[in-house]
Amino acid sequence: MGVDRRAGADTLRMSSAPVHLRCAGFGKRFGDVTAVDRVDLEVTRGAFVVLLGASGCGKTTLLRMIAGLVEPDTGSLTLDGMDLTRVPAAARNFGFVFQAYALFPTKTVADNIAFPLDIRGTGADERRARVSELAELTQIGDLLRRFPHELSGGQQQRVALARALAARPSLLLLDEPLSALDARIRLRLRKELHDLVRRVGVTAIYVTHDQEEALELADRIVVMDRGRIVQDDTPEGVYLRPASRHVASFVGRATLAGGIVGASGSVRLAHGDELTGLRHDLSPGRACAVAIRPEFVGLRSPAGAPYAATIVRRMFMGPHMRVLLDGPFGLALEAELDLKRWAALGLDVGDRVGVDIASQDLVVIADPTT
Amino acid sequence: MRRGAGAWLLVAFVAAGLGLFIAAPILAVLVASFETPRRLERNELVTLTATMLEHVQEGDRERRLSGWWQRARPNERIDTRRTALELAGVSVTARADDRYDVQARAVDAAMDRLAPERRAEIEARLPLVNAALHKRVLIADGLDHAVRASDLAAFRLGQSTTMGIGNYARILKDERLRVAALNALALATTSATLVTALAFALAYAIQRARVPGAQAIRTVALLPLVSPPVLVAFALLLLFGRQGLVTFGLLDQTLGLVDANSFNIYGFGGIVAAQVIGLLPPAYVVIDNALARQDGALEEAAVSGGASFADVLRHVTLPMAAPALARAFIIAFVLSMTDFGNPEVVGQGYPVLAGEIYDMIIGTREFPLAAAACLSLLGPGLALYLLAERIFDRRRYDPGQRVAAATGHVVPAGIRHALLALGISTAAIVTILFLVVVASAFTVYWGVDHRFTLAHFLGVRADLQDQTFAQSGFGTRYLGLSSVWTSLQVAALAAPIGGFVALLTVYTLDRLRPPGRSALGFVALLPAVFPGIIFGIGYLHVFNAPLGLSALALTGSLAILVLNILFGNLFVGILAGRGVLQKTAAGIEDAAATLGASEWQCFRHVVLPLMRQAFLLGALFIFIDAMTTLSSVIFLVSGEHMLASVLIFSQATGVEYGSAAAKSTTILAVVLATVAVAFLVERRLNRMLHQ
Repeated sequence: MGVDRRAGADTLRMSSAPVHLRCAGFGKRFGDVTAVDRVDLEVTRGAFVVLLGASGCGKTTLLRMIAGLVEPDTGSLTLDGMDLTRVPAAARNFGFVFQAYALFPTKTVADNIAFPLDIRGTGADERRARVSELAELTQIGDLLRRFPHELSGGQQQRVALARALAARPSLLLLDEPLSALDARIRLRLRKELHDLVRRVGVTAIYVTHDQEEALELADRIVVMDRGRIVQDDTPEGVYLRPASRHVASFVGRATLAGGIVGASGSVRLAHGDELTGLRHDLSPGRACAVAIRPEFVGLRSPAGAPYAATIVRRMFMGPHMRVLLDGPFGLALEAELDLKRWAALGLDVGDRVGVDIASQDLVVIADPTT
Repeated sequence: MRRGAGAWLLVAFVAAGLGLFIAAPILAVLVASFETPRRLERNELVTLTATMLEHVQEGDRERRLSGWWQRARPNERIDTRRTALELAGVSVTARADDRYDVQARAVDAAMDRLAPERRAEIEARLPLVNAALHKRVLIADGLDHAVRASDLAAFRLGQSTTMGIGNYARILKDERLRVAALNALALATTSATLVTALAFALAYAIQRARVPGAQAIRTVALLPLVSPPVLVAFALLLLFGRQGLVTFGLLDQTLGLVDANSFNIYGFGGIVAAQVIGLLPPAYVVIDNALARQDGALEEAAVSGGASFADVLRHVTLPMAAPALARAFIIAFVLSMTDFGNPEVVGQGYPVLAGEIYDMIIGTREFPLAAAACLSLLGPGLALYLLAERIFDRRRYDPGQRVAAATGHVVPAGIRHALLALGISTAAIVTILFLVVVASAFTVYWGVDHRFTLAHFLGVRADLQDQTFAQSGFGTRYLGLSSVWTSLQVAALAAPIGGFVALLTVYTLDRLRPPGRSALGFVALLPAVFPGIIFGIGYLHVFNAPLGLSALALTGSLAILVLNILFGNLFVGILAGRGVLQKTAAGIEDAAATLGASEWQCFRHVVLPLMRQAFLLGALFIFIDAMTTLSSVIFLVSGEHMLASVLIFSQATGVEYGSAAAKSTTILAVVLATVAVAFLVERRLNRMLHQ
């Protein structure tokens, strides 16, 4: 299935906690399209799991199946050992935060937050207390009497979060909750969301296509592609040890070079060059891909450098300069240098430059086709 | 944008068209409604008669006056002489309510006392006074094209007009009108409530419960949109009338359970049934549109918050649909209030105000009173509209961008089945009603002789029971399909012209942006709000003798029918065109301009192709309305230019069922075929252009 679980320190910690939610063989087809292909997923209590993938990879469908908003064709869902597969969404007591907020336009902010309590017949006093507690938690205390259309996007999403948490759900499900917001507000809300969910201590499953968001928020990232889970790991694990070319290029920036593992553990690239000092446990003769991330590429004066390249373009990124290179190995590599270092080199577009590659950091990925 | 001479010409053309053929008739009705009648003094009456007589040729005038005087009955003679004396300031000892022989003696005595010259002077005026008192109706009948209809009506009644609210007061005071108005209110409230509920249930079944066969149910429920006038009411009569298949044929004749003369659909229930089915399409479209645009995530948010089906309905679906429900109710309410077709056909014994207006115009010609009654019909609807505007803050009910269908909100199986049953029964009822009309078109005499015949289509009397009557030729003029041909002519003229005028109007208002465009835009959309009955009598009023010139009269012509239908439905093409223009970036024309296109080239190559669909929709709507409308053209048809829809109405009200059914069937076939052709052409063009 291409799932690669490496036993790092973090995964050990998580697996020691009891499994809270378990999807087994979850699958869903829409007509001819397999949206989710018999996925197995386990989530421990209190974890913040991010489902990451490009649009159409099945992550939202998986989330909606967990919520009960989409009925699975195959598989089962259990929560603390209780089978929830056929339990309707309304009876699961999960909180769901929608991408476009989905606040009730006809209700005030307070009534929106109180809705799940209202439905459960909670007494007026308790309801009021809970609403003000949540309003304080999400910092919207002064907006309670307003209507959703009178709020900004960020404020609306805070209300949506408060509403989802109102009935103390056993699971919080978030479907790209920040993607409709401006970049600046997105960053701020991301941090607040992180702190809030940890403070409340609720188990959360968060869907996004934004790898930066995933890396910042998650205890665990589940990368999906074409309806399957292709990697299930800590953020560090996903970034440093991507399980496939797809993951390597999707999470972080990387240039991929195909090659074959040599007898001494070196990798002969398609272009002919041989990289040595790589860390991997692939057997000789195995086809593989080497992911070269910008931070592994160093630039220096051409004299005495192991590799050489030509500077094709430079992009000013604020704190650093991103440099596009032609070569080595016939690859289009990227390097990132802080501005002082770049100034010290005194180079510009068209110049030859020396290249260092920290080979022990490079990621070697087994090519699944062989 | 700089506007050239061509552009200004276009602006002038559009402004003149909208002003003359939309604003003027509606304004005329508004003004006329305040023309309160005052009984003319006798001297005023004589002066007015003299003025009216000036329209009669000179020799002819003298001959008629003296003829009337010579043939005057004794009581008229006494009346005339006494009046002439009194107007001349001679007192007569008898009063007008004394016995005639007493009056006669007193008048003779007064005449005798006068000097001979004075007496001759008074006697010379007798023919004119006689005409003023007793022959006004005869005089007026010859002046139809020379004098404004309202002035003629006032002359007939011996009244003059002052501006005031007297007509409105009369509707409240007059027992008959008051009852009719209250009946209309009760009817409209009942029909609108039922139709809104039914439309919501159907829209919910189709949009949310996704019942099987949703598309078929929707299509059939929308069928009354393209049906000939009063078809539903007519079909109800064929089934449940005094000679109805069910009431007479089955329950009375076969089973002997009831007497169809007393047990039938006539009355309040019949009108409600006809209106609910007839008004279903507009109400349905409004609600369906609202439900379709509702973001499914709202219902899912409620579900994941723990809401049951009933909770979702109460907290999300219904509140969000509330403005649409109100809109549907108001539309149905106004249409019911202004509907006279259904009440006239199945409403025997249940008079409504719209029917009274129809009688006023066709019968007594009390135009100002009819105008006031028309506008009173709009009052409650307008009040409801303003109320709804106050209650529903647009932004709060804005469904926003529709994101997803609510797959997570599952309608319980029981409710789904109930909705499916409702959808199927509605579709079945509509289908049966239409089929019954079609069947009766091929039937010799519905309810009596159910043999097959084509006579109703061929225009020969099919009533074989009564050969002598059949051979008399009485009333055969309007049998057969010649009137359908007239309707088709009007439709074929009005549709393409109207579609094009709508395009020009949209382009002029929204792109040339002349000063006063918002006022012009408002005028262009007025017919969407004002019911056909007002638009019809407005045309009758304004175009009978515009500016007092009979040479300009349009009444009785084919042109007035074309113009009335064209401008009455112009708003459809305008709204569609405006929608297209708003969706396409204004920049597209700027782009064409920067690429060197002139104003005309821009219109020709950029705007026109974009507006193709809007043109087709606008033209199609006008075509359908020309074939099926009743309420406004019924006041404008003439013997020469008789529309099928008007004949269907009168023949269904009478008992010419076969003939009415044959016309209905033909119209239905023509309209459905046209819609199908338009649909195919559009799809073809679309494919050609997007390949």
